[in-house]
Amino acid sequence: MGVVIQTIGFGIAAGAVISLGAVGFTVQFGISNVLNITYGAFMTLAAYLGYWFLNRGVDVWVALVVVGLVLALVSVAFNRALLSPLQRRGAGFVSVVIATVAAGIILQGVIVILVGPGAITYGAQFGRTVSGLGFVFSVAQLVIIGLTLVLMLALHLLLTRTKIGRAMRATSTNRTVARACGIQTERIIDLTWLLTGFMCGCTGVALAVTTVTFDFSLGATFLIYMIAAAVLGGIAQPYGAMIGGLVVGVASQFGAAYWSPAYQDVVAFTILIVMLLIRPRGLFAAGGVSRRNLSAT
Amino acid sequence: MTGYEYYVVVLLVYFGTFLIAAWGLNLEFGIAGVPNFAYIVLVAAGAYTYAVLTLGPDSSNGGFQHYIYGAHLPFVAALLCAAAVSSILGAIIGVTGLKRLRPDYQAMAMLVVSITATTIVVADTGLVNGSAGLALIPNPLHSLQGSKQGWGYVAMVAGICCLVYVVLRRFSSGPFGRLLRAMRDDEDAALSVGKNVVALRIVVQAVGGAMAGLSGALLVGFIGGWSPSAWLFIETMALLTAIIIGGLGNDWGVVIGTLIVPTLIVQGVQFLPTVGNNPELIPQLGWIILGVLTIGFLFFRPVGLLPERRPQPARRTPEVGTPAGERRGTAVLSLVSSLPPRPAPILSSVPGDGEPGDILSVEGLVREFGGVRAVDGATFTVGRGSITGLIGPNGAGKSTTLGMMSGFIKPTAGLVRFDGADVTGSPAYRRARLGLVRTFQLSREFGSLTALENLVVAAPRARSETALGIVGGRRYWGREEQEINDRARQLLSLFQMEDKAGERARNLSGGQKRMLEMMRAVMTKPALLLLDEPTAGLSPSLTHRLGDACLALREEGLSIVLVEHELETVERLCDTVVVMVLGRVFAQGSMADLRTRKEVQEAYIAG
Amino acid sequence: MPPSGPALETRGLVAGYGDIEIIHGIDLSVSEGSMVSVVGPNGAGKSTLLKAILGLIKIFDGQVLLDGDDVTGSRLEQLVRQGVGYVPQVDDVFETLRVHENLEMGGYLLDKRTRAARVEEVLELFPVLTKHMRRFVGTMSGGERKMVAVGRALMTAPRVMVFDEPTAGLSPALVRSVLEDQARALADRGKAVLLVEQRAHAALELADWAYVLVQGNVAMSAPAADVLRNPEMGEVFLGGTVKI
Repeated sequence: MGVVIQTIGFGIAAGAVISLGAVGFTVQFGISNVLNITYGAFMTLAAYLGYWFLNRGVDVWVALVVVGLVLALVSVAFNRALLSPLQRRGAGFVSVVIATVAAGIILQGVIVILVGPGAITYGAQFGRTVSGLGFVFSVAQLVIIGLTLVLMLALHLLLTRTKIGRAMRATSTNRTVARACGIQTERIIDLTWLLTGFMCGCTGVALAVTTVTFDFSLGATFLIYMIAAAVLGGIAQPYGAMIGGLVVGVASQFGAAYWSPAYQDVVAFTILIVMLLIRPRGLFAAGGVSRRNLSAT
Repeated sequence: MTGYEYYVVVLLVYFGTFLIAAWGLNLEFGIAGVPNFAYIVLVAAGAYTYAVLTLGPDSSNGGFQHYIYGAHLPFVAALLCAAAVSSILGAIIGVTGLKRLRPDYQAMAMLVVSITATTIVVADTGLVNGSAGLALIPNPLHSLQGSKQGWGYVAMVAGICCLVYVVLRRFSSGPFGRLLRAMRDDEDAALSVGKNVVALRIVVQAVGGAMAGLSGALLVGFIGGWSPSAWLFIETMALLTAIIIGGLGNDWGVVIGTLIVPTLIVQGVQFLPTVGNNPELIPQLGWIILGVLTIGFLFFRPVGLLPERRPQPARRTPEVGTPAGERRGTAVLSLVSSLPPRPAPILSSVPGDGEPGDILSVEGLVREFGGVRAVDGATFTVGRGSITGLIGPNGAGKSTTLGMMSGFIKPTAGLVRFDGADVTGSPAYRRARLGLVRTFQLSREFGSLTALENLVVAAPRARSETALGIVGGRRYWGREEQEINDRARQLLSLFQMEDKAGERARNLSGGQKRMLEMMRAVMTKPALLLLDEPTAGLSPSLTHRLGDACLALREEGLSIVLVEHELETVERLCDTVVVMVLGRVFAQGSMADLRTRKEVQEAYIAG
Repeated sequence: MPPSGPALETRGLVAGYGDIEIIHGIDLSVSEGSMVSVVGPNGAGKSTLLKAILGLIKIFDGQVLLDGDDVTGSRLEQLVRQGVGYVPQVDDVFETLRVHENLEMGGYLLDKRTRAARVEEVLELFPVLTKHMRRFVGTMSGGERKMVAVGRALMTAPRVMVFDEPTAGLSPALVRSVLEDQARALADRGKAVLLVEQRAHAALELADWAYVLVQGNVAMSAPAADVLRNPEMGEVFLGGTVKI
């Protein structure tokens, strides 16, 4: 029983980071209509930027926020410089995905040239452990879980309670009509990339903290987990992605504990493939944005 | 062998093997539009299959590597098995990738499949020795020495490339290539003219898979080792980049692209001496250049170095020499009546042509969308050789009904009978083959094909689309193709569009696209045409011309169902009119009849 | 603002897609309280003209004036802030949102109180919508949907209303009512109404002034009734001289 509880605990901790990344990924897709595979390489970039700050004596949580802000700007610039113009030139959906993959390859290559292919570590950033209800968490894990909850809540309030949130929903639903309502859709898209870029940056640093050692493939590996979470939750559904993240996190920890650590990834990816086969629009897709975005025609 | 010579040999072998793979991926993605981002998995499957079939049993190599099965098959047998395994795997991916999702989402799903496959192979070390991979895979030319072995392999790969090219062209060019491109441009439109899109996808994935397997086997026979790091997802990207640079859908473009990207850039740079003291610089530089080239081409030249070409039809005078005005009517007649008699059972099962009777009946059709009943028990019949109008206010369920009649929408309940047979469960393409053909409200042309090709591709039961056609080639289908071409040309001239024959359909105006869609439907030799608001957005003169065509087609015994808003058009063309309101049939009768009925007046005509 | 000057005007407007010029120097003006209809055969450049005016495509040459101010190249969202209402052709609503959400989104630029008041005004104009406020627009009939689209555009109380083929895909009974109860009625309430319409006859019967576009040029600019009676009109639409 203790093992079960502890596995769930590990799963929640892992799931929190996955949720954070998945929510950013899914909102980015839902509002700007781009499946951005570069998201993975951006998380890697964030992890290395965090490392750079850490080596200069910056506190890890301060570094997390700063890196988040940097990635927010990088993401906006990326969309403005590459993806938006590409869409304007009439590139098809697959072309845009290929472009984001290519951008990810370039970024990853540059990172390897600059810092080498070897694994690095933030060192122990876990703090002391806290236990209760049979769970054992490190302070770092609790901070990350807390951070995820706070960002989720903030995003929820933004999307549902504010004028900007309404404008984001309008933009994702029908861009021309949104403009006819006087909504400056380009700014809304910028804002979307800013917010999701921030989440991407925070996730990258959080991943580095929780995985202990990492290398250039960090982001690409975890992006698959996040895609799994996003698909599970119904793509473009932030709350779905959060729950999907927890499910994927817990399931993969059980795979590791009861099968073999080597199968940790296999469990998560299998969930994803099964979902894609039987219910590709996700468990929580209630129509709405996702249906419009995903239909083939 | 000198270092320089070795370098050239290796690059040539890589070039040849990558080329086979790139051709395969181009067939799948460039020509047929299937975004198979897991393509490298098929290459890997071929390589592993070849390896375990030539390495001998697991125990025979001192137990330093583990894998399943193991045999000492001769080279050619192992090569063919590798192709077969990848082909089957490709077909399976083809079958399962059928959920109708946006293509970028499909691409992402395939990417995940690719990474998952790597993960599983790494995790299960008993399968093919995990991340360490397999080594000491025998070279088929091991009896030759030194440079003879190297150049011998080059010659063999070159020979196989030529062979593959000959086979590939049977699929990628000519009528079959045209068919695949039609499917790529618009799947629904392909279904509507009776093309079995599912089967086509499976065929394409099987052929592409076989090429992947061949490529993997040849590669591993040369380098002698194979591990998960050799088939990461990024390798699919290298192939994709080759295709994008060379020209999507152009087999010769792919040759150039493959020479530039995976060969010279990714593999080529590995042979450059290390610059400075950074060992990562050179290999990573290859990938970075690849990424930059991909983005650059997508931005500035998305059609690639050698763009896909469409055949320009030679200008030929149509055989019907009368002026356009007089041609109407009679020419359509000659067109359809010159067709071979429709094979059983469509005509022979019904009592004589022209005799009264119903060609189609729907009984109690219901369709729910998320609890809302768009169609709520519609029942009516369509008379043989008549034009039946389907009218009603917006949201009455006309288009949904038409979708259920043609098989594009699955009814929640109810029956559709065509020519006496229950077709409720049969898919859209099969109904189209029976002669029940629809058009779409928003015109859906095969954009990259020429206007003429749009028509030719719709010809039913073409020999070129059969297995015999692939094997027999032009000798088998050449004459028929010529006949179909002539028929398409006559149709174009009948609609006064002969000057647009060589124009790509996507460049036509809205009105021309509508005409083209109507002609395309006629090309399938239908018995019943379902037209979904064919005149929407057409100017009055074009509407009139389209109406003339409908009347001429009816003269030849064709039955037509017309969803239409313009009552003038309905009045002019329709023998019977079905009025739908709120998903039900409200009234059925002649237009004159309906005008006298007060409740119809109130519900619809007068508003 | 000159009291009698046109609310919306174009001078020598040249525009198109990519490098291809579609309209070649269009002069057009719409005054408040009048309904102006642009008609013409397929491919004449009617939609291109609207898109150029609304800042949805690139303008090669010429000017767009709103109340005498040069707004050439202004983006749609800016024009909306300056008093333009736009109802797109078919994809004209937020399908996946409810009716009240559509209207509220139309009042995106307003404060809460004004927005609520405007919703009331729109419902006065289209009382049918009152009982459908919580329905998803995607499930509504074409006529109701158009009311939502127009109502949404009216939320900002625009002085200029631009309709792109408002009757496309509507049944005949609705054609008349959309043109009469929506376009014409708005002109009668003092708005400047510009409308592109495929159903030339119906539009010309209600409009004050008409521009007949042929191959990207204004072939005729006259009171709508004159255009309707002009025998050349039939030529433009039915004759063989005009290519499809």
